[in-house]
Amino acid sequence: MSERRKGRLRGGLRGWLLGVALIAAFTHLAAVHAYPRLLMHGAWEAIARSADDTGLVHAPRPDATSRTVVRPSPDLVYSVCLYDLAAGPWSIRLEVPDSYVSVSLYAMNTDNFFTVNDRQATGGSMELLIVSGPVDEYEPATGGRPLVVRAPGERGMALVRYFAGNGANAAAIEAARRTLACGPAAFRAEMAPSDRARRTGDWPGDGEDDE
Amino acid sequence: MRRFVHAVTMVLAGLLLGLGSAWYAITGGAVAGVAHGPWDNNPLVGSATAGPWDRARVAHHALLGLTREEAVYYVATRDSEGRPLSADATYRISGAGIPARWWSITAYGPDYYLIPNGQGVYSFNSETVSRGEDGGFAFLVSRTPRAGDWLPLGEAGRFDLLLRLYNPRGRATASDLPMIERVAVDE
Repeated sequence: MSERRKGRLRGGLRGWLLGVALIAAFTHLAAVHAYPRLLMHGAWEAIARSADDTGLVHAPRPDATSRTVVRPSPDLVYSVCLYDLAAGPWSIRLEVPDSYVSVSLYAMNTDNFFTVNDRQATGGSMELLIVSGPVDEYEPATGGRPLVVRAPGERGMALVRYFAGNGANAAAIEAARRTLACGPAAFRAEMAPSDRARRTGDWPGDGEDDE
Repeated sequence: MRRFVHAVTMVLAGLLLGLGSAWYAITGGAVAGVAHGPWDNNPLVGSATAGPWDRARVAHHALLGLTREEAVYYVATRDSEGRPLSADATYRISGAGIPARWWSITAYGPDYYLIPNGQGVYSFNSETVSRGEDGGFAFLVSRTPRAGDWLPLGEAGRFDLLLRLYNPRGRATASDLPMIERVAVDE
């Protein structure tokens, strides 16, 4: 084999290896970036299949048959609300039982960007307004209630965790879960508090003591 | 024709290498973190400050985890003497004064789901575990039936333990967390 041909082959091999390395690096980064989003999308789709028309699911207490999300806690009772801010803000409201409960918000890249629990609740209930725009556009009209949270994307999940303890509070948890309301809020930044009061009066069991 | 083969093999090899290395980076071993005796904790669970590799690894091992302000998760794949946990042994989990509003210890199979067992017992928590006069607790984990507080492993081959601390009080140290002692090697 001539030296010229050997040189051409070596150059071809170097180019091939460089191309493999570049494609591998790009593929690696893309896969690592996409993986949590794909898992979240899968969980979203699985939950959406059993959700009601407001995106709410009251899951049974986890056992060995639970397969929606890895490492379910058998010591918690979960409710899930899928939110979609495409048409505007999203409201979540729940009564707080005499035991641990938390509402945690997740972005579609899996980040837990906000959590509130029963110790931070006021008046025995929690009320959140999830928005996609700047929080201060809403806060002047809401007067601190509901709690306004800016989501990093249009879609995500709100996961409500109730501590099952030794099981003695099962009935109280079920009663509290039935007060959980979740859905699009007909809320606009220009609404006056009195307008909002009329709106929130639409919530089940609401209307007398909201403001 | 040679150039076509050259290009196709280059793309295939790149894709294979990229996907394989990503899968290894995401799934290889447990979620890396800080060791507290037999318990490992990754402080980046749920955090928006996690980098893409940590986020992907956490999503694989513990999707929808809470940030450490609300809950702290510790995984044990070894006992307190550093030996890998084996479903062929019996372990005694004991502790006292875990610094949290409430806690739980759950056994998971290698697929990260709860282990089927005839008793329907998958965990103990701060309210279900029996307490001694000093407030301490102890329970056994095994496939072989045991008297008292027993966390059955069903027909599991491998397992790990997940300790959850909800509303943690300060930063727990190794001495705050339960011991995992191998007390018997079962038949």
